[in-house]
Amino acid sequence: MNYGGLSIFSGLNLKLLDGKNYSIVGPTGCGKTTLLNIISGVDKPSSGELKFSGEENKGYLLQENVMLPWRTLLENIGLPFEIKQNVNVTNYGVISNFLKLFDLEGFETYYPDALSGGMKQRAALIRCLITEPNLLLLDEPFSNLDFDIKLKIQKILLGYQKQIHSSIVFVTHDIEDAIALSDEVIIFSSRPSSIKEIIKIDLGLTEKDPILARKSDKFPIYFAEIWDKLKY
Amino acid sequence: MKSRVILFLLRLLPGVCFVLLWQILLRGNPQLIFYFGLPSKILAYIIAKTADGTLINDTYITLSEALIGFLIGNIIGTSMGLSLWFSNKLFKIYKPYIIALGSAPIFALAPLLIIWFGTGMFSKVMIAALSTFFVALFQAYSGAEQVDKNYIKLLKSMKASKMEVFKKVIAPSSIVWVSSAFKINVGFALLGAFVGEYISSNAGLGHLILVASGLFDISLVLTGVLMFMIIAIGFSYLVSRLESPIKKLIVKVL
Repeated sequence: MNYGGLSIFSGLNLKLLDGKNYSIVGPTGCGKTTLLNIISGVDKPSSGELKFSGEENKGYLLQENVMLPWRTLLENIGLPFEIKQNVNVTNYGVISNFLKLFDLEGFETYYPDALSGGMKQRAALIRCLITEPNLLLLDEPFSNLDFDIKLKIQKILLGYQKQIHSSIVFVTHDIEDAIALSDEVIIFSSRPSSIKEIIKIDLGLTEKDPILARKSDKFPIYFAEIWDKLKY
Repeated sequence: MKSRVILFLLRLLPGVCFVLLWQILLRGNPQLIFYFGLPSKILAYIIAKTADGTLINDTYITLSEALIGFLIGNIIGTSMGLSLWFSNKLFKIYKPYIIALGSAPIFALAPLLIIWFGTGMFSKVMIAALSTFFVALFQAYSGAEQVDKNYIKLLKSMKASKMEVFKKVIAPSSIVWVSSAFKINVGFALLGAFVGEYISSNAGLGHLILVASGLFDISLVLTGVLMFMIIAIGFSYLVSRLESPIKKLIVKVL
């Protein structure tokens, strides 16, 4: 795959399965975000192709947690409902439920200027979730969150994922998050990127749990393995 | 509150001093009064001409010409500028023409517009409209061009159509540029109306100033200038108050 004259990926083949979670880790500038742009359809690859089995409904959390500054928090979150493509899913009850779960209740009428980075990140995540996508593309979704609220949100996210049967692709620089949330951790090499290694995660849990995962005996082993492969 | 009153008084002070000095130094010197006018004479003109209604009438005519021209020029200019966003190619083709016409002194065309549209109010409205049009067009297109690319990316990630991107992002985001065009254009609209009146008219502040300067009545000229300043301040204030309601309206309607 080629992008803007710059060769970013070489011979990249990736297969994502229903209901599974994938984390992409790799050195800075290896094209993690570009890959999400391509999967989401925001950017077109100069070569290569993308195939979906069945109906696709993607939710993409941009790294910048973009909020339109002239809209209130609630108007920002409800934006997907105003786009014709998504009009069949208008459900403001879902939003207020998420606002409660994500500690954003009471901030509905605030403008983005008045909100912290973490609040914007949570709001942007809600905006992705409410259309009930079957593929979630999350670019550094927890980078602005404190540890306690991060674990809480991860738990809610995994629960909701089960409910709406979606797959998730995380792009992250946090190896712990990658292990705790994923079925497979995909390690990228530097540019032109290719997949260096795919590590299957099995922590012996009956279902994914961000806190129990971190307590698992195998957790530090995976950590060391991924760390060695990455060699930042 | 108290500090605001003090600030207001402090602001008043230089103006009051200037007018007082002007009055005291020139009083009793007909030669200097001939060249520079006299505050008390200006005041007398304002009172007399307000009483007989001519000053109000002239002000009303100039203000209407500027206001209508302002609305026509800005509405057409802004909508054309924003719609050029839909086609980058179209803008590239028309750019040299827009720059050429925009940089030509529109006021040089004023005599022509008077020949075309007559010596009445309509020609002045057209001059004001034309002189505001290009500023509005440029500002609107620049505003649309300068939109944060991430906003567009966000909308694209939701599979928004180009029209939806325009409604949800381009229009509300360009409003800052558009409203700065409005502010600049207050001056251009008044200038347009003035130039038209100065060339050929039978009423309006430009006409008043033309006649008074022909008679070397400097105090009356300055009376006209003072009325222009008052209109400009009121007009600018009105425009600056419109920005935030327009913004809210656009977010709600589009």
